[in-house]
Amino acid sequence: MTNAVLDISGVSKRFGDNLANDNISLSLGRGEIVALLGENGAGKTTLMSILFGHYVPDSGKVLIDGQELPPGKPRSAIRAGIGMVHQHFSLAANLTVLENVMAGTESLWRLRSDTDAARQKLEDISTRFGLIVDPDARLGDLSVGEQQRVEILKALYNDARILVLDEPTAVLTNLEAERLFRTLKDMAREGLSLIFISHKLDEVMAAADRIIVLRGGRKVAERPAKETNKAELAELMIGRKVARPVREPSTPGEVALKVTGVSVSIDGVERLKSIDLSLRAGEILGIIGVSGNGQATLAHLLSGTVRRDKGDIVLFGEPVGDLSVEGAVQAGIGRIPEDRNNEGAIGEMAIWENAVLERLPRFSRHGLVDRSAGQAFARKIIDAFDVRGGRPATRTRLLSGGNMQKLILGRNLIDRPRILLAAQPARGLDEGAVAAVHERLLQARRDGTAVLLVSEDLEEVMALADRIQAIVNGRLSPAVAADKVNATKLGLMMAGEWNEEHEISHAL
Amino acid sequence: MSAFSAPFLPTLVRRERASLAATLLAPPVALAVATVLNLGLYLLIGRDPVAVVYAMLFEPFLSWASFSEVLLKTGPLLLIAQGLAIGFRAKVFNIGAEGQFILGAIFASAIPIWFPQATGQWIWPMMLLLGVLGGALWASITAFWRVRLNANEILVSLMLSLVAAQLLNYLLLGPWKDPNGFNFPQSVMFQYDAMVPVLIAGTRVNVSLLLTLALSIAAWLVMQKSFLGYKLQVGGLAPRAAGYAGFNEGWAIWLSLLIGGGAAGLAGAAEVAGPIGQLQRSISTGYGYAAIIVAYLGGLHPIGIIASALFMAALYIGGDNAMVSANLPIAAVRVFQGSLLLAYLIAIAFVRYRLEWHRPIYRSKP
Ligand SMILES: Nc1ncnc2c1ncn2[C@@H]1O[C@H](COP(=O)(O)OP(=O)(O)OP(=O)(O)O)[C@@H](O)[C@H]1O
Ligand SMILES: [Mg+2]
Repeated sequence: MTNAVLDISGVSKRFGDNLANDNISLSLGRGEIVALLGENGAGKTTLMSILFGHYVPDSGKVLIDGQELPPGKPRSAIRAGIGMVHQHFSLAANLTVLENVMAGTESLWRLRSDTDAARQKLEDISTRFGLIVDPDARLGDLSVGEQQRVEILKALYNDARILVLDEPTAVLTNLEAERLFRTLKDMAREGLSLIFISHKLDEVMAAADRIIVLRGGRKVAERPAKETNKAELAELMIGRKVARPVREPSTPGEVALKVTGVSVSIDGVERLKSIDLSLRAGEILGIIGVSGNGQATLAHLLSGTVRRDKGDIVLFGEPVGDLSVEGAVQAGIGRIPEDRNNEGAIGEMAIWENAVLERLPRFSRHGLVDRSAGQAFARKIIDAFDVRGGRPATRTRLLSGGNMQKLILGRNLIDRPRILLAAQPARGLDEGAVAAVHERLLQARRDGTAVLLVSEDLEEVMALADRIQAIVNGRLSPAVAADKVNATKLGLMMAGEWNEEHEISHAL
Repeated sequence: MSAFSAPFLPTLVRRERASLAATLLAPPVALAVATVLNLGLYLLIGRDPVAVVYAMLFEPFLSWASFSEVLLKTGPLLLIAQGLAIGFRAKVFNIGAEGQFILGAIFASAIPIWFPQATGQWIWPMMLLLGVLGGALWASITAFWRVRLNANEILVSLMLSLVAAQLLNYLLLGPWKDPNGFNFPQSVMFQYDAMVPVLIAGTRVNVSLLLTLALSIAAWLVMQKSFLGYKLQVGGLAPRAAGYAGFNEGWAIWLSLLIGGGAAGLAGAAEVAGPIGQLQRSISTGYGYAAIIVAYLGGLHPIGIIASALFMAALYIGGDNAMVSANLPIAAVRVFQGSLLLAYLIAIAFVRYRLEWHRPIYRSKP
């Protein structure tokens, strides 16, 4: 291509005996949007990391406007106009949004940083692209969705001409995702070139001009979006047909968890306002809402990591006061955290060490950790949950995003928990893996586990949940039966429009 | 100023992975670099570098008499460094081991000073226990403020060391001064039973060295094998994951500081109840600070720390030798220690990161 702004030619990268990228070539035109599609571990992130200079390829090269980019130099990549929004966020939690955006852009020689100009530039960009965040908010206080907005803003702030987004919508609601893609299209119209990685076929079809499919490190197909369809893409990606499972009718059992009138404040801000919910054995209760409305706090409350101000929590008929982590795990609550990179797993530790993380008492004798039992446990999870790319002693950060999530899912589900708290469990997983996770959640439901599913994915909640509650601004709507609502009604609920008539009686 | 932008400054880029060979090579390379630099320094101040190097690096190992002194110095360094390393791995930076050492010595001295006539084999073990208590108590002040107010433990523990030194001064100039000591700021000499038994006849090496080695093994067990060490390590590596897994951060801070303080206090007690035999101003020759170097040189690994403590002790003795035989000022030894730590930290930075130079190879079109 002559007008290509970016050419990747013949790139290969090997990790040990794992060929993550195998002679991949692709080009990107000015104003074009290309989607990179592929299973977990297909090598998408690796390829983009090579483009961005995080990894040095074993062979092959990257050309920007026909000029070769020096390999392994992120700075040169940034200066060449490549912006990257990482799958694993790389922002500092204790800095403000503005400081994060400015970090790394300033000269070391300057005594004073030009905050005013930076603030102006940031505000211009965020209004222009509709990416609204408070520049003075501390990053650690933002939801994952908001943090991602900051990542995008940071790339734009660095004058990116080629923007790479690694699974940008994994953390967004459908509404937010739609808005993001509108923004991306506007950007493309203004001459920006974009590559985004995704597992979601709908959005790939809707947003991309061209679609490139990777499988097992190789480029297996390249199609203009107009000349393909979802079914073909799914097959190209996975090599076989997949369908997400849907819940079948069932009768729930006893109430496993009852929360009444619970309020929680964090640092003086009321995050949960007198919420009520009740969860039965053998059912899935879906909590839906736009990121940042208190679902993180709700998940933390039931995980035992935050204290309540008032209200009651009753577990299996017994009031428990505040839950502790240990108490929760011992009571048989499996916990899948929303933020797997920071809360769920420790990248620098081995897979087996992560596998036993919350269950250490079970894996220690006389105060010593039983390494072989831990490794056996990890091996069991790796086999049962199809965690690819590592053995028990591998460092966890070497797993691809989806495989890390499978590990976390596995360590919770393998124990057959009585209650499963799943916060965004399928986020960032490929279609095959999403189907597998959904199947696991439904299996848990069949086994009589009470599942609380906190999700931003309408489709997921409607397919899995028996009853649905919306969370808006720290308040929980009454529950509605999933087969009595449609997407429109749920959309209204997520916007805070509910009234008591939606409530169904809990008597059953 | 703003005319200078950063393009010609290199930046540090994290390596994909750090190689094991490079990790193991870092200490010897650091030692070589520090040695060469210091040789230059000795030349500049007009000393014979060959004589200095011989006295500093070889003599300590050449006679049993001086090697036993090396072992004697190894004790406190090893003990303090093991304690500190546990905290460092949990990212709790106790820099005040010097003060905790002094408090350990003071607590231990209370028995022989208050009961100079007491006899019995219980006395020295009791003193060691009191030493642990004293060091831990002193460290607990730091822990309290860190957990309570999130006060920086580096500053608090460091400043408390200065307070501890003044406390020692006060005791030695006032209530605990030996009445028959010609007004010297030191306590009475301790009675026989207040001394830790000698281990190797004819030397000053005593039983506390065995204790120290046993505690090193314990440190290894704790850090590499135990539930407790695992929790501390998770806290250091990923505080949020630790919180999510229910590991209490305050608990980790308390534990790290109590272990570090207790170990330093024990070292202090073993010094006054061992080679020194009384409480005096110069009970510590900077052990608390040197142990920080020892801990890092040993890669914060209990086994590595045994090697680095031995090495650092030899450097102390070698420095003494060099002072006598090559007329080297005492400050030169400190300079050597400091440059060694610096060289090691730089070496280890290059094990984990590489430099990226910014040649303006590529310029984007306007
Ligand atoms: N630094 C590394 N060292 C060793 N192996 C690695 C490293 N980085 C990635 N891998 C492996 O290379 C393969 C490709 O990983 P990559 O992260 O590129 O996948 P991905 O397509 O982005 O998957 P996901 O959708 O799950 O994010 C995986 O098997 C992964 O385990
Ligand atoms: Mg990826």
